[in-house]
Parts: sequence; C-alpha cells; structure tokens
Amino acid sequence: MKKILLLALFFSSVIAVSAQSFTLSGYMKDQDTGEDLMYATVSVDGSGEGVTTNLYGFYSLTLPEGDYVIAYSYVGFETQRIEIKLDKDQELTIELGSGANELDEVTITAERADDNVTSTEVGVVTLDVKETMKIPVLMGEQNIMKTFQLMPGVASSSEGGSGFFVRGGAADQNLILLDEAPVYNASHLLGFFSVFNSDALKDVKLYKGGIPAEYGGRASSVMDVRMKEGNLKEWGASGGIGVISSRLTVEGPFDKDKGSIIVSGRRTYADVVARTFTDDFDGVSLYFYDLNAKANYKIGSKDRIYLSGYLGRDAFGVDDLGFDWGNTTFTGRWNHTFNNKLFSNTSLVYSDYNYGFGLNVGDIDVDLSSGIYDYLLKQDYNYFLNPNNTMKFGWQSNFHEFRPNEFSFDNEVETALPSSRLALENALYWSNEQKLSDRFTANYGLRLSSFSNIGNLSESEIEEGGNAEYENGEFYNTFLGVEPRVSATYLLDAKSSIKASYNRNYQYLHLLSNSNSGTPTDIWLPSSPVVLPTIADQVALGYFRNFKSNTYKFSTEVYYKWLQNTVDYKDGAETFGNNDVESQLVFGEGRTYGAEFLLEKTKGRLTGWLGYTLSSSELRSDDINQGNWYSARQDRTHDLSLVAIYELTKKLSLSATWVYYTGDAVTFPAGKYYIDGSLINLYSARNADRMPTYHRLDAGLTWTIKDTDKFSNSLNFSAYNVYNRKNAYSITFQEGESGNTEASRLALFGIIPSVTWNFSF
Amino acid sequence: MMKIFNIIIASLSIFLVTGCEDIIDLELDNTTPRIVIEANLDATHQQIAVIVSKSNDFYEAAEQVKVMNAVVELKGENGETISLNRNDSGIYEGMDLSVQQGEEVTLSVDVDGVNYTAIAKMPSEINLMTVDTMKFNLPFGPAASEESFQMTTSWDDVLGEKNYYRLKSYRDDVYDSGNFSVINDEGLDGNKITQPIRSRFEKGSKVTIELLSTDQAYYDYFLDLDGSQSEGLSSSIPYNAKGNFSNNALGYFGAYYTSAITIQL
Repeated sequence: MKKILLLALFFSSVIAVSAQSFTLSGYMKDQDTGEDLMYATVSVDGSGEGVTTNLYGFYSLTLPEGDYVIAYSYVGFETQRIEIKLDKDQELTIELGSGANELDEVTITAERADDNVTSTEVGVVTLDVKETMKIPVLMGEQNIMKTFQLMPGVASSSEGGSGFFVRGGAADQNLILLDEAPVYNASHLLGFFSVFNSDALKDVKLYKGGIPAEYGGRASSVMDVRMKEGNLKEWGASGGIGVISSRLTVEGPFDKDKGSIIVSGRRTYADVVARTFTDDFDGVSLYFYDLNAKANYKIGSKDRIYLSGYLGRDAFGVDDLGFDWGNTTFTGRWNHTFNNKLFSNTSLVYSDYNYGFGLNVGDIDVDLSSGIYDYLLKQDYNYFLNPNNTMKFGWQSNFHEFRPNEFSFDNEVETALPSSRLALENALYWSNEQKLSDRFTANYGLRLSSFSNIGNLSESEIEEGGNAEYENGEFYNTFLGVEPRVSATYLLDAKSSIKASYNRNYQYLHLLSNSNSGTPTDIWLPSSPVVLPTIADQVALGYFRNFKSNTYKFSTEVYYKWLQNTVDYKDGAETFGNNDVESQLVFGEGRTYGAEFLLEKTKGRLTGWLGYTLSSSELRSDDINQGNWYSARQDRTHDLSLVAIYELTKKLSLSATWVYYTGDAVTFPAGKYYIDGSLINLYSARNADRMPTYHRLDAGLTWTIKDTDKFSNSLNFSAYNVYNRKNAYSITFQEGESGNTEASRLALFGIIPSVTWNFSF
Repeated sequence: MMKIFNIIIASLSIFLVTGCEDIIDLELDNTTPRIVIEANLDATHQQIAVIVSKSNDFYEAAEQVKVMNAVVELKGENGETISLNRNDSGIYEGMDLSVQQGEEVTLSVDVDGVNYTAIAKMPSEINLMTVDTMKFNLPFGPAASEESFQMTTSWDDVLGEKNYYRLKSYRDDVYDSGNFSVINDEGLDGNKITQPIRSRFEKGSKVTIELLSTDQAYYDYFLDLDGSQSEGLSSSIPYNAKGNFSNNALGYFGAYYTSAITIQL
C-alpha cells in the first residue's frame, strides 16, 4: 500500500510543502439523525479554499498556521461558521441543523447551491430522495429509477419500467450499486417497480459520463445508491400504506451516538387486491417483498463498522407451478482513519441474483434455476494532501460465479450441463482532484482492470472448430484494461462554468436480452475468448450557468461515445436453456451522441425542471443489416421531461410530470411472401421502423395532515397517465375479419389513480 | 419449459394490465417487391419444380404474384443444361432428370435482366421405414371426448455422413402447411431415428407421412425459417430467413429424396 501512496504522491504535480501547516479534520453530520453528510463543503471563509467530505462524511483540510473562519455547509442545511486558531492539528466534528425549527423557511442558507457550476463532476445527476417523494408515480410506489428517467440523457426502457438507457447505452451498461454491492436485476414485477425502497435510501447519484476512477465494470453509467445508516440520536418509525403495497421502516440507536440500526421492509399484495375484484386469480399468487437492514458502530475515534444487507424476491405461482426471482446483497464495511489526512474503507461484499422455476407434476418436482453470484473485496483510500489536492486510490477483486442452467428432477440434479463458469475481475485505481488555479480544477485518474476466466471442470468453451476443456482452477484467459478518466472545470465567472471530460470504460459482463422489458430470465454472460469485453470511450463538454442567485440553474452538455465489441443476438438466436449461448451472438461496434439541456427552478413555491435530449444511438455488425449502421433500440431522437411541484399552501402541494419521447426503433414487416404454402412476413432493414411517439401526463397531490417532531402523516394521491393516452407497449400484426392484415396495439396502462398514506414518528 | 414460461408472462401481463388492445392505423414502409424463388428438386422422381414470385405489400390482399417471364435453367455436374418450361399454373418444371446421389447441380433464374443462382447437392437416398399410430385423448378441455391419433415415424440413418431430414404430413391429400421443423442426425449417426409428428389426426382421415432426406441448403433454410417464425420470449428481433440464392433473392433451392407411407385412420 505504501508503494501506491508514494506513487500517488509522485504523480501529484503540486505538493505544497510547508513546515508550518496543520490539519483540521473530522466529520460532518446531520444534527437530527446523526447521519453522515457526504459531499458537504468545508471552506475557508473568504478565500475560496476548501474540501468536500467523502462518502462517510470525513473531511481533512490542511492549511498554514493562522486564524481562520471555517464555513461548514450543505444543501438544505444551515451553514455554520467556526473561528479556528490553527496552531496544531485539530479534530472537529460538526453537526449541521436543517433549520426546520427556525421561524421561516428562508433561513436555510444553502451556501453551496452553486455546486453544479463549481464541481468537477460532468454528466452527474444527483437526486434528493426526499424531493422525489413529491413526484407522482405509478400506483403510488416511489421509485428513484423512474425519477432518474426524467433527467436529460436518461431514457426509460419501457412503459412503466425501471430499466433505463444512459446516453444511448444499452440497459446492461449501467452499473447499479447498493452500498457498493452490484445489483444485477434492479426491478420487480417485470420492471414496473424498482428494488430500491426509497424509505431506506440516503443518497443516490448517477454518473452519465465523467465516471470517476473508483468506479468501473460497465460501459455507460454508474448508479450509486447508499442506504441510510440509521438514526444515531433517537428511535423512530416511518412507513406507508398504499393500494398495492405497504412499507415500514424502524431506525434508532442501540448505543447513542455510537451505534445505530435501521430495518426497512416492503411487501406488495396486488394478488390479494385483484382477487377481491375478479375470480380469475383464484389459485394465483403474485407479490414481491424487500427487506433492507443496516447497522453501524463506532469503535473508538478512528474506526467504524457498517453491516448492510438487502433481500428482495418476486414470487409468482399458479396451482402447481411456481416461479420466483430476486437479489440478495450483503456489505460489510470498515472505516479506518490512519491519520488526519488518510482515510480508508475496506468492504467485503456479496451479491447474487437468481431465478427458479418449480413445477409439480403428480408426485414429481421439476426445478430449473439460474443465477450469478459475486464475492467482492475492495479497499478505498482518500488522501487529503492539501486544500488543492485530494486523492483517491484503491483496489478491488471480484470473484464471479455464473450458474446458467441448473436442472433438477425430484430434487436430484439430473443434468450434465456446464454447471458453472468462474471469473475473477480485478481493478486498481488512482485519481486526484487538483485545484490548478482559482478558476481551473481538474480531476484526473487511471483505472487498471483485469478479467480472467477460470477453468471449471465441466466447463467447455466454444472455439473455432470445436470445444476445448480447461483444467480446474486454470486461468485460461485474461483481459487487461487501461482506463483513463479525466474531467475539468473552468469557472468563467461566479455563476457559470465550462466542463469537459473523457473516460474509457471496460465491461466484462454482458446481459443478453431479447425482450423490451428486461425479463427475470435475462442471462448474464462473462467475457471469454469468444466474447470480448465491451470498451466505451466517451467525451463530453458542458456549459453550466445559474441565474437569480441560484434560483434557476441551466446546464447543457454534448457527448460522443464510441463502443467497441458490442454484443447482440444473431438472427433467430435460441437462448432459453441454451448452453452454447456464445454461438448465438454477433459482435459489432456502436456510436452514440447527443445534446442535453436542463433548466431547473430550485426555490420558491413552484419548483421543478425541464429537460430535453436530442440524441442518436447506432450499432453496426458485419452480420446484421448487410454490415450497415442501424438504430439501436434505445435510439431516442427527442426526449422531453417536464416536472413541476407547486406548493399551494404549507400543507398542500401539487405535482405534475409530462414526458414526451420518440418511439423505440423496431423492425416491422415491410411486405409478405409465400414459402411452402405459408405466408411469411418480409422485413426490410433492422430497426428501421419506429413505435408511435410516447407521451404521458401524471399528476399528484400531497396533503400533509400533521407535521410535528413527534408524529407526522400525509396523504398522497396520484394519477398515472391522466389523459388516458394509449401508448403502445407492443404492436403485433394479425389477420382481421375482412381478411386484411391489421396492426394491433397493446397499451398497458390507462389512467391509474392511487392513494398512499405515509407516516413517521 | 418455454411454453410454461410464456404462460406465466402472459398471466403476469394480464394481471397488471388495465389498458387494452386495439386496432390502429400504422403506416409501414413498403419496400419494392422482392423476388422469391422456391425451387425443389425431387431426386426420387427425378423432377424439379420452381416457383418464381414477388413479395406483396404487407397490408395487401394475400395472393401470390407469380413471375411469368423468368428464364430458368438447371445445370448438372457434367455441364449439361436443361431449360425449364412454365406450366399452366405458372410453375417452371423439369421432368426425367438424371441426377445422381452426391451430384452438385446449379439453378439459374433470370428475371428482367437480373440473374439469381443457387447450388444444391444431391443427398443420400433414405426411406421412411415405419409409421406407428397411437390413440391419444386429451385429459381435459373441450376436445377431450374426441378420438385423435398421434404418429411416430422411424427410419435408418446412413453411417459416416451428415444427413438432414424433414417430415411433412397430408390429411386427405391436403398438405399441412406451416410446420417448418427439420431434423439432423447429430448424435444419431447410423442409428435408427424415431421421430414423432407434431400434429394430431382425427379418426376417419387419410393421413400421408412423407420423409424428405434433404441436402444441407434445404435444411439450413428451413431451420432459419422456423426460427424466424417463433414467438414468445425466445423469439429474436424479426428477420428474413436466409436462402442460398445469389443477388439477395428470398427463398431457396433444395434437393431431396422422398418416401411416404399412407394410413387410413
């Protein structure tokens, strides 16, 4: 580790050496709950020098000896100014209040509300989980993934679905992390609900570009979801009762200010509700549940331990037939501060996603299951060298196990299929955020990744001309990736900036999916000698400007992304239960580009945003479309989102969202012809047609019935698809009564009203 | 398992659906009509039949548009060329050929100055041995009381070479179209092959089962065609089945030996 540190120091071009420098370090926390404040700002009043806290609320500021006024600030919290006489190293933990108990709302001085302009982050979307609660949603089920889809550059994959496309990338090119654990299938009920229970979440962030060096493994984006730690001050509960689901969260300290725990659960009962309306669902069960739990404990002043886990499962059953699927994650973390400048976190992570079918015929049970299992160990270091240089470095090692098809007959495993595939994915990274001048800040880093296939006795790989067997435990194939990551911000003046970024990402896992919605049976496949890793290079340029003392924020970004070794199914691919999936694939390249515009209003009674994206996403493969470029399914020329929240009174707020986007690129028939006495559809080019344009209005009303420290509750009414637009989920063709062929449109959702009662105490 | 899964997905969607299905006007790009060639060389009867047609617009009434002015020629391995004549129903025919097992023959079709060529290689002659019938009653459902039959066929594969097969069925001399499934002898080389027929047959009907021992081009085309017709979750993005004709013509040129057994149920 020391070597890396030395290397890091060596690479840092500016090393402020001062004999009289001292370090001020500590944590920033929420006064009410004791939760760490991440990305909060610690700055020297009047000088512009400062640092931001890391993911665990830790900061370290090294300054020459002297007297300072240090400002601690965080959006939505009251800024605290502390006079410091810095003549020795000091530790100072600050708790900020949200100002909720103050006289009026305006006292909250969000000092750093111009973060969007000043930070080096390009292509990043952050969501305030509390704010998303006000946005109207399908069946009253809060869903951060749906909220992300309302931001420019992020497109929804299907009606009501949680799957998303970032800057023209495919759905499998998004790395979704829950407390650092990769989540392989982030949706419930075929995508209508996300696995993330908003009650248990603290912070969510989506990197569309300019992906920092500490993240890797997917070509297009990173969605980093962090669970709440649990209230360190007092016990409390919150929850909600809705039309199709209910949820409950309990949190509190088991050792005040030292250790806390949070448990959050959610369960849908759609089947029970449906059964009361119709007889069609007798004997049918259909539900999902989620359980999030997290505990943390401080051991002395230098160490803290966190344990967090998620368990979610969807289940569907008809009489003797059962089908269920879900994710499990576990994260164990250990924070350690080596000294007042060097902070470390070590994580041990387990994650799995699997699904299984069960069928009972007579007295015999038949089961089929499939899954992916990850065992990950990682270390991340933050080194606060001086106010101008903050470094991050670390490593991770992820052992993947893929079990594509496990078949059992009366509890006896029958098959001689390749039982599992093994792979090891490693990464090493270093990055530095450097303030080069008052106006110019750069964040540069490098990630080195590797991916090795490991032989497993029963595994066979398809190679040209036949199969090759590999010995157990043999590292028979290794890919190496060099991934530079650079982003920079230049302040034009106090209110506007220009940002640029370049990053390269390697993706070693590929999700094969034919369907639109992302089905539970989609297969994750490792890179191998046959399937090369996907490589994405992205450049982005942005202009950011705030108006009227940060009331209005405007930003625009343009991007271009090249993709190498994209993976697609060949024509007529057979995938389900196929052990030779590699033979069903074709490989190619991709190019996506676009311009994104976002105008936000953040203050006043009316808040919200308008987002618009103009973009293109194309693919090319020698084996498809005669080698010509064709539109990717997610090619959205226009994508517009309007979100408005209006506070009618202190207790009543109205909200509405309107979305409008170009239909998916699809392949419709262009004619028909006879073969062997049958009429066969004739197709022109791949994805040359379009689904009809999609648009939809949702509206919501939140009535805060009571809001005090002891107890608060509110009612949320929402209506999905207010003007009952029949947006096409699929279009199929059939022979009509008159003998003509007709196009038949399936619209999933008409207008759907819902009501949810939320409470906390 | 696939079927079960489709049922699940269908129920799931019905369950969640509050919307509806309706007929819409959807404009499709009508491509210029493409040439479709369906050429079958029956080596058992030493005859060839070629249908040359054009594709229709998608919404157009579905009548086959035959091309009447094509020039169709068959060339044997020895270079001998036969011109095929069009019969009254618009099919280009050739009789009394003298093609041998293993021979490569070339079919050339000229339409309005564009030439389409494909090659077929005569397969081995393999004959259908047995067709067994078995009474089959559905355990439940509206058709449970009806008496129906299932058929199982068998024949001997030829050792030491790749063989390709297709089974066709006829009810009262009417061809059961729409089933494109094909079989190969992978893992069964030189063995007796036993294969059930997908359809069920009613009591009283006259059923003919025909076994085609085909060349690889025929097999490949119908395998691709079968794949393009599959529906449900394992279906892929729509595509046109690829045949062996040059110049992007749809359809195929295939050769086969045929044998049949007829049963009166």
